[in-house]
Formats: sequence, C-alpha cells, structure tokens
Amino acid sequence: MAKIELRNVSKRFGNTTVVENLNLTIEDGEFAVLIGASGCGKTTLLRMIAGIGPQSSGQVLMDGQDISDLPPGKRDLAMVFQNYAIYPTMSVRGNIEYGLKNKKVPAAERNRLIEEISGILGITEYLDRRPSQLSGGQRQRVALARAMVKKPKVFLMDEPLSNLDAKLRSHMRVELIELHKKLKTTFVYVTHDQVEAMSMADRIILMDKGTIQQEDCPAEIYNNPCNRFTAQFIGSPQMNILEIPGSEFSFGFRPEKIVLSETELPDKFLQTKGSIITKEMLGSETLYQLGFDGISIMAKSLTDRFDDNVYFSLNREDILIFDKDGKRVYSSDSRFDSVLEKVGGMKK
Amino acid sequence: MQNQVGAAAVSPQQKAIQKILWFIGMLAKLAVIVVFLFPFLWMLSTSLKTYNEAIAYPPTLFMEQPQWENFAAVWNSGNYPLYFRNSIVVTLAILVIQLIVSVPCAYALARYKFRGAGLCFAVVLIAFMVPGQLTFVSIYIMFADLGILNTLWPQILPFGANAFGIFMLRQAFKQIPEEIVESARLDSGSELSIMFRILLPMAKSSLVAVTLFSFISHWNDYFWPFVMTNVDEIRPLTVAIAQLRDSENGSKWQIVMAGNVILVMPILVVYMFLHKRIINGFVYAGIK
Repeated sequence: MAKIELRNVSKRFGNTTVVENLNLTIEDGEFAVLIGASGCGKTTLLRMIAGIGPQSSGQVLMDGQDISDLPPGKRDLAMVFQNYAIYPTMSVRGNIEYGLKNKKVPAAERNRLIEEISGILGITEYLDRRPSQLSGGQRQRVALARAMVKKPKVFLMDEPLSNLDAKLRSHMRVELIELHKKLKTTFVYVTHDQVEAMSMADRIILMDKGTIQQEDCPAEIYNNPCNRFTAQFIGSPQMNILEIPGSEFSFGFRPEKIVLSETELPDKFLQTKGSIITKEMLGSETLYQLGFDGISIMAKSLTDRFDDNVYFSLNREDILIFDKDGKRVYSSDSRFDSVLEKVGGMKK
Repeated sequence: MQNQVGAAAVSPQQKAIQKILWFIGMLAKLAVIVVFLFPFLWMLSTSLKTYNEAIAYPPTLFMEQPQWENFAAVWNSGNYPLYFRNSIVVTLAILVIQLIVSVPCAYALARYKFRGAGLCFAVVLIAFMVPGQLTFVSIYIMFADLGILNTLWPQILPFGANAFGIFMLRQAFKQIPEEIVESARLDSGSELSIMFRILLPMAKSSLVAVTLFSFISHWNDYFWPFVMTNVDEIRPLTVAIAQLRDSENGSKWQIVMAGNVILVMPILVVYMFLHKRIINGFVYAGIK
C-alpha cells in the first residue's frame, strides 16, 4: 500500500507538450481511475508513475519518497498492459516467476507464491501451458497473476479490459473490484470507458488535453460536474446543454431528468411541447430524441409508450448553469438566480 | 476479386489455358531444380567413380561400382583430422563471437533512442556491402604487426561482427511489442536478462537463419583462410581440399570431388535439421 503524488510533472515529446505542471495525489489504498479521450495524457501519467515513460520535469513521490530517478523494477509497483504483454516463449509459470527470479526470491518461496496467486485467479491448471494456448480471458488472468505475485504497493492498469468481449469484461470488472477489496492496495486504472470508471472507482480523475478537469467520487462527478466538459463526458447519452438566448450562459440537464407527459403538467419549472424524432428501446429504458424550435435533445424514460408529440418538463433543481468559459455556476454564486430566472422565462 | 468470380464459372477454353500455364510453371520449376541439383549430383557421382570413369569422354553420370575408397584416399592424403578440427574451431568461434557481439548491438539499435543511432545503423549496412577482397591487405598487415599470423585468430577475429546478423536481429527485435520490454523492466529484469531471456527466444527463427547462413559462409570460405594462412597447421578444410587438385596436377577428379563431399556433409546435416526455422526466419522478416 502506498500513496502516490505527482508534483508539477510535465511530459514533452520533442516540441509537443502532452502534460504540463500537473499535480495529483492518489491516496493509499484508493481505487483511482484516470479517464479521458484518447490522447488526453492519462496513459502518459501512468507511465510516469511506472517509470517506463519518465516525466520531462517534476517529481513522482511514493509515500513521500521521491522515486523520480528509480528504475521501473525498483519502484515496488506492478502494471497490467492493455495487450497483456505476456512473454510468449515462457510458460504461464515462467511468466509469473520471471519477476520473482529477478528479485532472487528462493525457489520454495516462489513456488508457494505461484500456487497461492494462481489459486486465487483460477489458473492453476494452466500453469504449464504456453500463452498461445490460452483464451483472452485466461491471458488477462496471467497478466494479473504476474502483477499480483510481486505483492506490489501499487497496481497500475492500462485499459486492461478493453481487449475482452463485453460479457467477460463485465465479469472481470466485478473481479477487479473484489480483488481491490481483498488486497486493499492502491490501484491506478486507466480507461476511456466511463462504465468502467463509474463502476469501479473510489475516485475518478477526468482528464482533457493534459489537464485534470475534475477529480471526485463517481456520484459527485455525475451529479455535480464542475464544468461543461465533465458534464458532457460522463453520462450516456451525454448531458443536454442549451444556450440561453441573450446571455453568455448556458444550461444543462441529464436526459433522465426530463419528465415526459401527454398533457401539460402544472408546477414544472420549465415545460414545452415537442415531437419525438427517434426512439430507441433499450429494454429497461427508452431513449427519445426530441425536437422543438429546431433544437434536438435526448431524453431517457422508463416507458416506451410515447410516440408522437409530447410535453417535456424539468424541475428547477435538475438544471445546471455554465458560464461562457464552460465553468459551472453554482447556486451559491450571486449570478445563479438571475440566470435561472432567464431559463425559466424561456418557454412555458 | 474478378479472377475469383471468373474461376467460379470457367469455360472449357479457359480451363485448357489454365492447365497449360500450370504445366509450363511445373516445367520451369523442374528446370530450376535441375540447374541447382545437377552440380551436386555430378560431385556426388564423380566422387564414387574410378579414375578412368572420371576422365572418360563422353562423360557418364553413373559409375559401375561405387568407389568408397576415394574418401579414405582423401582422408589419408594429408592431416585431415587437423584441417577438419581447424574448420570446426574457426567456424564455431566465429559463431559464438558473432552471437555475443550481434545480439547486444541489434538490441541497442532496435530498442534505444540515442544520438547517432541512425548513423550507427548506416555504418553497419555499409560494412555489410564491403567485400573482403577490399580489406584483406590492410587486415593482413595488422595481424602481421600483432604477430598472430600463424594462429587461427586471423581467420576468426575479422568476422566477429556480422553486419547481416545485426540487420536481421534488429528487424526481429523491432517487431516485438514495446510493452513486452517495459513489462520485463517492471519485473526487475536486467538488460542482459531482457535481451537473452525475453527477446532472443522471441527472435529464434531469425537467430537460427542468421547462424546457419554464417555457418555456411564461414565453413565454405576459401579466399580469406587462403590469404591469411602460411602454414599447414592452421589451414581449414576448404584450403586443404583445394590443394588436392594442385598437388595431384588437377587430374584425380574423383579424389577432389570426394574431398568436396566431405566438406559439404556437415552443412547438409545442419540444414536438414533447421530448414523449417530458416524459412520461418525469412518469412517473418519479410511479411511485417
């Protein structure tokens, strides 16, 4: 277990700066998920922590100790790669054993550790097989076993589930959550999949263009995004954001917050009539694309009974306000009430 | 695509054309086989002929009675166990030194980004293109100055670095995903361990191909040992067998050919065991 701190780290590739003066702390035993679109710098951060793509400037600290100059093998962490990076010419046992041998762990202890870890991950019967004889899920486990057997202070995972099929992915997701509970080790997990981030993280660190947009627990990030980027990145379908005419503000609302009805509802803060452009029945819920005044928005509803024209309305507390820079305007802000009044006056 | 569609519904005329093309192809292949195989068969049959059969005109491919004693005659005509040993020592020493030199060099060129890496690789490629005939005089003088001319070293040391081997292994190492190396570094693997335990086994086909080519070229090498050796004790098999012809006034062809059979046997044996790997090495290097 260890706490990781990145202090003023920057990473440059030639003339391109990918990350600049970034600060981040990952607490001891935390399951931290770095999420963002590809090229946002999340994998770069992970590689800095691992030491395989060191920062151009700044410091990486583990439990308060500067590990910036330590080689990857001496950092007491383990990494699981997207393509597993299993050594193809070694057996499963050889793969798991390699790191232990390099650390000069005695043979008896090595065998005990391999037995223990392969038992936990259910790969005991494959120990003498070659990686080429294993399925994707089994290889994933071997990669996990290889990381776990070293009993590292920190686990780094770079999109470890993205090569698995949907069913296996959700299964492995649950297993990783259980594993984290069992090991109580610090996990740093990189993904571009928001379902993974929402379901696994203690804390989500959302990145864009090398900067952290927001870091918070999944519920806060979903319900209380601090800017437009976060609001629209997390959530599927994404948050509806509309400009407020005659002002530099915009307002947003989640698709599931829209109340659909055949008749006008009294005492709704905002209500209008529109038509249903598309309708997607997803089983437990239905997605509607609604159109009015040349604008289209997404709505999520538990019922699929609406077909043509509907009224849709919003409650006051479900509306979020953003300023012209995309920053959130909170209800404590002096501008909040006047902007909200403008929203309320838009259409009744 | 069009061909496939066409193949699904071929007219009898097209079928006939296809058959003729197939036949011409087979004939061409057969011709190539004959061109390559004939000298070898000629050597083999001559080595088993009597003196009269070997110089008979018109020549015949087959002998009446195989003359196995021709091989004994070669073996007893000089200190052949010594020549044989020299060939083996020189060739194996070259292979071992090449492995020790080429693997780290190829690894560095494939995996490290350093100033002048491109230039280093270009130098390796240029070395690949310079023939020994250009350099032998200066190298001979160098060894003479070192006073090691009458040892096996002048036949070994100039071939310690194998440009072709470095090139092939570099290509093979480059094809291995970066994550494998990074993963090994996180597993506390030293550079030596990563090179020899992780990457080299993954480049096995290329390594085998390089080793075999090197083995064949140095086992068969005539020019270099010929100019680098002044005394019999350090001569390899190739030079000794060439002398069979000189010492016998070029007349006893059956003995010369028997000597050549002895010379190529080890290569054939090695090739028989490794030919699949060699082809893999080249296919792998070629496709990616």
